[in-house]
Amino acid sequence: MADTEMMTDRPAGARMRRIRVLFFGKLGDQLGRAHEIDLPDGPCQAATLRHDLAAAHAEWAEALALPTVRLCIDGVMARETAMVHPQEEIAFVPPFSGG
Amino acid sequence: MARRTRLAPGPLVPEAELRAFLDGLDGDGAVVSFIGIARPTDRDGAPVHRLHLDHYPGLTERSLDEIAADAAHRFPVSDLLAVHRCGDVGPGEPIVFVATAAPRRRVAFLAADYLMDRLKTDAAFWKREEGDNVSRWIEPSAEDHADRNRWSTYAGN
Repeated sequence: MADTEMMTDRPAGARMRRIRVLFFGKLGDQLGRAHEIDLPDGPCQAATLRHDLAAAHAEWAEALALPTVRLCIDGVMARETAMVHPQEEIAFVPPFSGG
Repeated sequence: MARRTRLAPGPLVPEAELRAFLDGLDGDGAVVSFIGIARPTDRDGAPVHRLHLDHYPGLTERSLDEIAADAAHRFPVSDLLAVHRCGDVGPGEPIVFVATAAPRRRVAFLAADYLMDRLKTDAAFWKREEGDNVSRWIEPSAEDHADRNRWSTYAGN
């Protein structure tokens, strides 16, 4: 049936996973500190995740496009080529200002 | 070689930190300490009532450890301590404390100087100044970056 087709447009067995996305500093104030986001299950590259999150959340797009906003995976600074796996915590961090 | 860093969510008492640091020494001839204090005004002279230091648990502690390890690697210090506040800090309150010890003074001065330049740009904190009806997030200045980068061409160590 057509209705069933529409509901099963993902490959058989594809699941969603919920990831935690954090923003710090100025971004935390602007966009909210912590978010739970549903994404297709399975690993993906950090740059892809950044792009997908910007596409899905228009209000995040400007911040996520900034090269000075770095990405962390489970609390560790990561390259854009790093792989993000299910269950990992993602954080976007603007430039530091300590001291 | 004792190398310690600490994230301080509550008040930082430099006198107590220095006393404990001195008590832990073993025959060093030189100690340098530095205290960074929250300023009562911003760059334009407007009053600042409070600094808020945001941090990311885990990442922030690791960044302090890495900076301390780099300092100890570059300079032959005997002991090194860095304590950094997080949360809300009032004007006039200490925000950062570093101490270095070495057999002779030059190394202790250099290591403390290096630690502070790195902490300003590479420690995982985000600082917000809160004044009269305004709050503003601070990013490292061009001067902060220049201070940090001079160590990449520093020939001494």
